[in-house]
Amino acid sequence: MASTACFMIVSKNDIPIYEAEVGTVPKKEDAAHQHQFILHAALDIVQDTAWTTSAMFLKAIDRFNDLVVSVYVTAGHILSFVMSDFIIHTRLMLLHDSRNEDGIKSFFQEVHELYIKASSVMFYNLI
Amino acid sequence: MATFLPQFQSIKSSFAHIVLSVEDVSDLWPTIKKGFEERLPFKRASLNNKTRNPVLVDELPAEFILTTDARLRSRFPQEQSLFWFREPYATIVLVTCEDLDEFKNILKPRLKLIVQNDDREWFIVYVSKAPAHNDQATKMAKKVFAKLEVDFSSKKRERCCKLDIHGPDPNFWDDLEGKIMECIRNTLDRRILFYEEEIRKLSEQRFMPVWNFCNFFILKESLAFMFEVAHLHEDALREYDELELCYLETVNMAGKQRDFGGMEKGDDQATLLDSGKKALAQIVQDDSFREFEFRQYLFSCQAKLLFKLKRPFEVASRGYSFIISFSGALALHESMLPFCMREVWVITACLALIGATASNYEDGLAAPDVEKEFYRVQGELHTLCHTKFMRLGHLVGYGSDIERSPVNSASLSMLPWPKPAVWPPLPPDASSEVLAKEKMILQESPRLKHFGIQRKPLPLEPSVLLREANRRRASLSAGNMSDLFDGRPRSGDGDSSGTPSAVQRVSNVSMSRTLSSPGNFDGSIDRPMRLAEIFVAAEHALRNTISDAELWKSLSSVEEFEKKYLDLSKGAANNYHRSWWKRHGVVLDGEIAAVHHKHENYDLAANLYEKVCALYAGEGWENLLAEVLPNLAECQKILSDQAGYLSSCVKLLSLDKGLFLPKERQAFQSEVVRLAHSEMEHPVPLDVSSLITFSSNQGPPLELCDGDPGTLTVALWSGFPDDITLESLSVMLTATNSNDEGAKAIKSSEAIVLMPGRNNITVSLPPQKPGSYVLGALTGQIGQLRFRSHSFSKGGPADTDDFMSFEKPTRPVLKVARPRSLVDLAAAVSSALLMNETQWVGIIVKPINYSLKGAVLHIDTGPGLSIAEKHEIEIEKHEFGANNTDHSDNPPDNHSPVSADVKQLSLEDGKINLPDWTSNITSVLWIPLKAISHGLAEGTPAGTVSQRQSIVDGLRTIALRLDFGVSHNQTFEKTVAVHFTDPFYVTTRVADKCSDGTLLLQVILQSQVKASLTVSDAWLDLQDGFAHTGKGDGRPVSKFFPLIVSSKSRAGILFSICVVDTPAKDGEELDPISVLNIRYTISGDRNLGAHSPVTKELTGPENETDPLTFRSALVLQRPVLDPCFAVGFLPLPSNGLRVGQLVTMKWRVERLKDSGKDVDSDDVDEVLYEVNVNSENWMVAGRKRGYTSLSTKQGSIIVISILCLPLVAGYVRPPQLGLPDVDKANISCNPPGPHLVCVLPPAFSSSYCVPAA
Repeated sequence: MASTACFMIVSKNDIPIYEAEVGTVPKKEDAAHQHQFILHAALDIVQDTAWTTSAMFLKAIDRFNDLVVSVYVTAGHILSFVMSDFIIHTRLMLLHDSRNEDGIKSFFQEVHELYIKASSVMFYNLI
Repeated sequence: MATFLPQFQSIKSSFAHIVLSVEDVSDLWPTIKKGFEERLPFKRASLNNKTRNPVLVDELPAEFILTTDARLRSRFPQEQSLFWFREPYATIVLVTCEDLDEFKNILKPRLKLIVQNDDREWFIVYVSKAPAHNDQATKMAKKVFAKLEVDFSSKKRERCCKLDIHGPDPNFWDDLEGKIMECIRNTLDRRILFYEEEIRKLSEQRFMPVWNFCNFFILKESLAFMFEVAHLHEDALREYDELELCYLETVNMAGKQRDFGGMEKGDDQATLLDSGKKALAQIVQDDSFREFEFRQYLFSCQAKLLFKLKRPFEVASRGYSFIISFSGALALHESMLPFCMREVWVITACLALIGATASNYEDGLAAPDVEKEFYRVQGELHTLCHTKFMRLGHLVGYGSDIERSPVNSASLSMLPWPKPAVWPPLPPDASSEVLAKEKMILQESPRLKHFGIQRKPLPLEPSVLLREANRRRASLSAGNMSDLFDGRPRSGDGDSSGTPSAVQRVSNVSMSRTLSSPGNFDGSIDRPMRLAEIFVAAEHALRNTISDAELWKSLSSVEEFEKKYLDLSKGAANNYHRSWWKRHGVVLDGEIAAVHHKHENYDLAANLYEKVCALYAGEGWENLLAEVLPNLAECQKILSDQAGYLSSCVKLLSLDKGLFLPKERQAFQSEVVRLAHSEMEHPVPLDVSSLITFSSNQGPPLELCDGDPGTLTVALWSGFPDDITLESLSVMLTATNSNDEGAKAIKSSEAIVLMPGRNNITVSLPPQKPGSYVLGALTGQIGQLRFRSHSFSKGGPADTDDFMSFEKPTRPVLKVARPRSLVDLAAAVSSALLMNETQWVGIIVKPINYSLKGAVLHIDTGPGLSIAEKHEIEIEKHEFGANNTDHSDNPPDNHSPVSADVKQLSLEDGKINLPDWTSNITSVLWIPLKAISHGLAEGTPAGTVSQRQSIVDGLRTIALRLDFGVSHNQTFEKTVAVHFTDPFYVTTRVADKCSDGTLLLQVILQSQVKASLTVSDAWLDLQDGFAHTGKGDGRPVSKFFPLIVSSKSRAGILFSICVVDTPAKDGEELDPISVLNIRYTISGDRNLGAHSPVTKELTGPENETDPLTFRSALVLQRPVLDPCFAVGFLPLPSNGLRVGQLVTMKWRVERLKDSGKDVDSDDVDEVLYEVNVNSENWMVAGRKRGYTSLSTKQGSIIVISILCLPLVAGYVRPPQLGLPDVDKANISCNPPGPHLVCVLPPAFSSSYCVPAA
């Protein structure tokens, strides 16, 4: 079954720094806007939710009809030993229609690991 | 038990307070009723909640009812247990008695009878009627009350209290209230226990087939109601919550299909806040309730309690979740419900909830966080309502009026169409409406986007409505109607709006259409509906569904629809703005802007669009920005907001290239260019940081010396799709080391054409102050447009990650060195050169890491120095250190004027152009110069020190100015001192005075040059009064010559002379000086010092012997052999000199010889005297100069007295007496005057002195 999945990394300044359509549904011309729009609107909710829990994986924080927004928040204090003051609160966001929460969680964890590796390179300046 | 439901409802509606029964034994109630009822409602009642924890109720209403009242008497015993909550919570027995016997015999047994029922909580109020002045009666009353207490109170519990009618005890009422409260508390506890027990029992049977939810509900709600009456709202709410949970469990229990409800007229209007709209008895179904009504009922009960608890924010948040979950339930039953029932219900529910919660909420009611959350939920409710409303509008044909924005598209395109069992058919008489709709569809013209942007409009539909509607009809036509309804319970209550009637309508429609449009189809219902027909059909179906006139009005016309649409958008936006969800608010502002835009309220639209664009741009969500920005640009263009419009165009251009077609991007650019070249009223500055970025070129920064101009190359990346002409371009350079100095603009004057992508721009750089510079900003002009860019680009668009970054640590692009010496000019030779001869003066030109290409040297000789212009100027390479040794080893070679390295230059107007080959090496410039000194060198007697010729006399200066640098911008000026001197310094000494009157004059020649001097001849021209002895011409013996005097060495020559008396010749002055003439040759190196004069050099080595002549004056002093006068200084007074004290200086002048003049012996000669005095030290009171008469006879004496006043204290030189007319040689000073005298300071004035203590 074809699935929709839009993955996005949003920097601490709310700027999308990476975006990928990783679903199997053929990409519609207008869908990209829509996915961006949904993920952007979900930032409001992340902002609320992120401080209410110590977990990094916020699970499904927003639901848009059939589509679900799952979010993973990288915590500033964890990465602060790598670089002093940026990379606070980068958000990994996934818009998807699958219900496999564990799979999404492990996907996020893998991405997070790669992200830390990338950001540990001193010459790499994340916005 | 379910049969008690109506009774339960009526009891509930009639029962509002806690009941307290009054057993009026002695007919006292009418007398004391007023006093009792004044205590109601009870303040600060302390009750126990369900968990037996004390709860303080601020205000507890209650009612006193006599036990004889009909309300209490007419109850059946079986009802009592179920509706126990309405039974009295306390029984107050009112008694009075003034006689002990009466009490014992009558009252006591009666009271015992009354209180024997343990179920009731009771206490006795003894009312004393005894007046205060009647002691007897009072005593009796006390006795009776004491007896009463003994009989009815126990240690554990006081059950009696006494009310004195004529003088009530102030504590009585508190006592009474306490007792009532104790009773209520106990009763409440007992009843809670009872209900809990009952509920528990019933809960245990939940999974048995006989279980009846209605019974459970009555018990549970009774308990809840009891709590509510007792103002224990929290507990009541908890009961309702449990009830809801329990109900949802039973509803979802598999195997039990029940009627859902919602089919009745008016059901489309949500009753989630109105519990009394439908009687519970109406919604009973079997052993339970219909879900549709009952869930709303439960929510309304919860909401009511929450409002009482002053928690409207909780109503809102619970309500939102309720609406969402209930909407899901509606979706499950959608096929049976009227068309779009779900959407209509959600709209009305949201509106009801918004209205109720907003009116119950006051700002500041809750904590700030809760308040924000409340507004968020309000926003969510508005949005939900907005979405459903749009869906309805779309179904009736207003889809084209809905803005196809991302938010609308996202909410509608993923929201499935309503799924009725059958799509509503076209009503029979709707042809005119269809025509009207068709006309409307035809008139629709897709609004052209500004800039000719052709973008596929965002979808508002999950699938094409035409297909969806016809498919739903087709399922009917395919004959699968029975399949569709198979297995579903038909509503047995004859619901007129149910599916069967819909089917009926379908067939009716098909018939009527066949009739109204003959020739179309033949009795078939298969003809697909057209869009207009779908709209009309939906409109008709909705009219049946919607019972709310207000909502229907909003859907009745486009204008009304838009009005409601705008209201909802505004409501949502405002609420979101007051919550944390600012993004939602701003996005909805965009929707409002779209409506304003459509209605040509461009001002409002532009304001709101700006907010949206700022949000998207600030957070870098370009795809979303690309949707909104063209709209903003259009508004700005119409509003003639040129600055805003240009800025929008630039932003559009700077968005990701993939977001727009090249043609569209070209349109943006042409707009910018068009505006730039049009006549703008107010030329606007424009920030193009995102579009034109710049950086210095790769590699090290340009390094310049102070004062040098340069050329700076800057890489520019143009984001314009086409070439663009810049009228001018300036690069700002900012010094990194000083903050106070602003950035300097470096302008490139010529027009530049920027190509898309990278461009290399070269700007000429005027001389800058020393320091390190970074690129600050880029400014320029396109037409009349002044643009500015602050954006640094690291390496061009290739590494796009950093393209937008403004916080790059900037690399210096230019370094201007601090001022340093770039060149040095120095004299090549420090030792003295020959005076009055043409000498090579060497100037070392030493570049210090700086090219002297094209340098020009200006030479300006000072006084007493001139350039021998006949000769060429020579230049040669200067070799440090080596040249000295080389030349000393092989001196003749160095005299060769044209060596391999020597080049000849000519002087033009005092300037020399230095050849290019000297630009980077140190060279020596040889200039032929002649220092002129007109004075004759003077020889001095040996032993005197200060008379030697001062070195300063031989110093000459050459002012040099070197113009060099890239554009002759650098100047180096230096004045070089060159020392010229005579070859010899001559000293004389009378070596011997022979007895025959001859003198041996020793002339000592000290060489003053660093060269070897060869004296070939020397002779002495003697002054008058002296003569050479012998017959020679004054020359020394010739065999001593040539006499070689090497550098810095001395030589001596002896002359033998004698003193002769030379008779004065008339008309001729005596020759006062003797002159020493020396003929010599010099052999020296110009690299070391003095050398042969230039002319000599030119003649070649064979003429070396051509000697030079040196002349020096010698003063030969005759010895004082015949003194004529003696001058003596007479001693000073012994008391010393003091400042301000006159003193007489005395000199004695004595004539030692006769004057020699042929005069009489008694003649007196006038002698001129003069006092030389330093006027700073002395004041002379009298004539300093004058004549005095002195006898011409030998031995005549005169004393000259001068009155002097010392002016300063200390050792000072005293005045000196001189005789100017007499030759010094004839004056003998004996004794000589003192060199210094001591002058004391002035005496202090004692009158001002303070005596010492």
